[in-house]
Amino acid sequence: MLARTMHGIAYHRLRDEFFVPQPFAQSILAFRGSTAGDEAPVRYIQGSRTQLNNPSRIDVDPIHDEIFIPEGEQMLVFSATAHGNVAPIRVMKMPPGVRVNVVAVDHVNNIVIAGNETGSPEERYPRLLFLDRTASGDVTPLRVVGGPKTMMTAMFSLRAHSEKGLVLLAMQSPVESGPRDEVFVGVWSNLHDNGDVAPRWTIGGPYGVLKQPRGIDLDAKNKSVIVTDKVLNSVLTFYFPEIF
Amino acid sequence: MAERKMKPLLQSSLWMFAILAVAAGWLLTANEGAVLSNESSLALRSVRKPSGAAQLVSIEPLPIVEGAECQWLPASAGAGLVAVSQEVGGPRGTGMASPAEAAKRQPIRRIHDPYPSFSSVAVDLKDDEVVLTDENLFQVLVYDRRTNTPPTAGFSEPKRMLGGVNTKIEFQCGVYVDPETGDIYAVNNDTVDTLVIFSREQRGNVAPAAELHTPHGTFGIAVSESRQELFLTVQHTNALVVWNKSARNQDHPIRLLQGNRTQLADPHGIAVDSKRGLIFVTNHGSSRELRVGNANQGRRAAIPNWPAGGQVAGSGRMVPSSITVYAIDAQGDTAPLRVITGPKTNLNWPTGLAVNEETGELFVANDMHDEVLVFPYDAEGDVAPKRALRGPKTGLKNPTGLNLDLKNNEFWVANFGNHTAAAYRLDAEGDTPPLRRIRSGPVDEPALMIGNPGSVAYDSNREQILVPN
Repeated sequence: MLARTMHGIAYHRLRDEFFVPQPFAQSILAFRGSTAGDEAPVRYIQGSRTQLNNPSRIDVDPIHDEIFIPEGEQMLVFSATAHGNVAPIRVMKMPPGVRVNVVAVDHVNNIVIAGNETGSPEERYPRLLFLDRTASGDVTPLRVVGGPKTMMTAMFSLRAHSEKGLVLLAMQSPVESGPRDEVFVGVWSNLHDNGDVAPRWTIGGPYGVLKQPRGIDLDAKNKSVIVTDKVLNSVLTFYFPEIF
Repeated sequence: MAERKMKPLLQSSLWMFAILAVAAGWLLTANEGAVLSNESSLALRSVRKPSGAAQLVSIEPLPIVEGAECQWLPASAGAGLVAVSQEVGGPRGTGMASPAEAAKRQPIRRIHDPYPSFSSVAVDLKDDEVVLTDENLFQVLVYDRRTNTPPTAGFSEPKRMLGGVNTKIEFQCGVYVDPETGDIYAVNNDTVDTLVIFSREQRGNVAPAAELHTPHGTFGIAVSESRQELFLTVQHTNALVVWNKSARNQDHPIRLLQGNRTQLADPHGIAVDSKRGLIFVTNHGSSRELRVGNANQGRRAAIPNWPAGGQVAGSGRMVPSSITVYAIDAQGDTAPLRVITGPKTNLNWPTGLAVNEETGELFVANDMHDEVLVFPYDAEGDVAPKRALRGPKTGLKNPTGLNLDLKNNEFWVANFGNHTAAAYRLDAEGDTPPLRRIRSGPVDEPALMIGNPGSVAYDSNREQILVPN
């Protein structure tokens, strides 16, 4: 049930499952952690009640057992155990003119961080929106980070470090495909950063080893950040104790 | 006189006091011993006497806990534990490592396949060459058709290579060679919306001789020489788009096949049978209801015959892998003439496709089953292939590209899973080894099959990295 070209994955460490959004079939697939070979998912969300349109990114809240899917003008929240043609348990409607397609969940501080790959047509710089994790209906961001000091010109994915109240962002180039030097993985605070603020740290750039970062995840035990890069066609591990 | 008499009296008093103090101390410890006299001797020995300094009284190891560690916090730490643990995210300038220095830090590990991974193949009969796309290192490699990498060799050197930023080659998954000019047409998948065309003389990091702007997510390519038309499948919008073969730059397509009746479901490979006027398309099986028509191109200015991107939320479904067959001039929301699908077909992510117009045989690279299937061109429904090439001697491993060489009575397969491309007799079947094999990496070197790693997750339980491609 997988397809080529998947841009999201999230591991639920308490359930020992991983979740993959499958946009071509408008589905969210849940696999056992030990899945190998041609093995069916243990559950999948799909159908008319789901409101899934182009699910591309995903994050998991292992503590509250929820999964978050950014879908343009809204953020869909499902139970991590959802199966079949089920409605989301919460729907966050973004402010007018705001569309989101990347997400991270900070389960300690109850914050959802959302963003748009390239920002709205009116914005030159994309923005990070910090939302109340439990919100439903029309939402107003608690904080917004964006502007020239952020160095964000596009984003591909997010990942939260809940225990430290941080969010990591893969800053790609919106200009063209191919290697770019201005890209990096940036780190902001989920609690203390607001407005046009530079990242607290950048990993792999700018003008570093990364050329078009894509996915991010954290290995807290080894104080490492794992990053995939499209141009390098590689998976890189950075030792970065500063954020652990 | 009185003072001299007082001193001996004082001294005597002090001595009496000291003796009394010692006696009192003895009495106290004796009583303490009497209290514990009913306890074990070990307990008695464990009673510590005050020493006026801190003493280690107990050691109890903490259990090993997976996940994030809590840092030891000094007594001078701030208000709450959570707030303190997040001081790294608190007010800026907290004395952590220099951000500028940290930004330059190199990775401690890099997972990367250093060898080319072949994704598609085409044969240039005029120059006796075979052209392969390398979806790992972003190259197009040209070999002598008769290349057969010796078992002791690390790999075979190509005659010609195209690659580098100027070429606009990235994740290439389809290739066609013009039989007259030797021009190479290479299809970029979902990261570059451009078909790149190189002349026979070009090599290295050079700009394409020509380009064609394509929809996002093109995959397979086929050309009808008699009609001078070029066909591309479009994964992301379940479409098939047709141009004049001479189309360049922003030229728009001349036909579009898209819609809910077409049964295109994540289309990949394509083959054209000009003799019979047919198109064959392999589908991986992801489907959803589309909103078709140029009006649904969103903010893009309407381009004639450009696939629409609109779709109905919640309409997605998975259908079995299939081969759908259309008339060569099919367009619009047109149902296929035939569909080959079902468990007997054994289709599982069928990808590369080629048709022998002389014999009417359809060759299919069946990715997930490591095999090549051959169907009669008029097969329909749930039918078994008339022949299959599979087994360990074949060397097939995730075959994604396939091309026919009717002049030499062979067919070629590009294996994404083991750094090889191989040539077989046209009628090969069963567990048959190839006639020749081109290797781009050492024998038994695993191909990582990393192709556009769009995301990553860390399995902290198994300490493994999950990478969807």
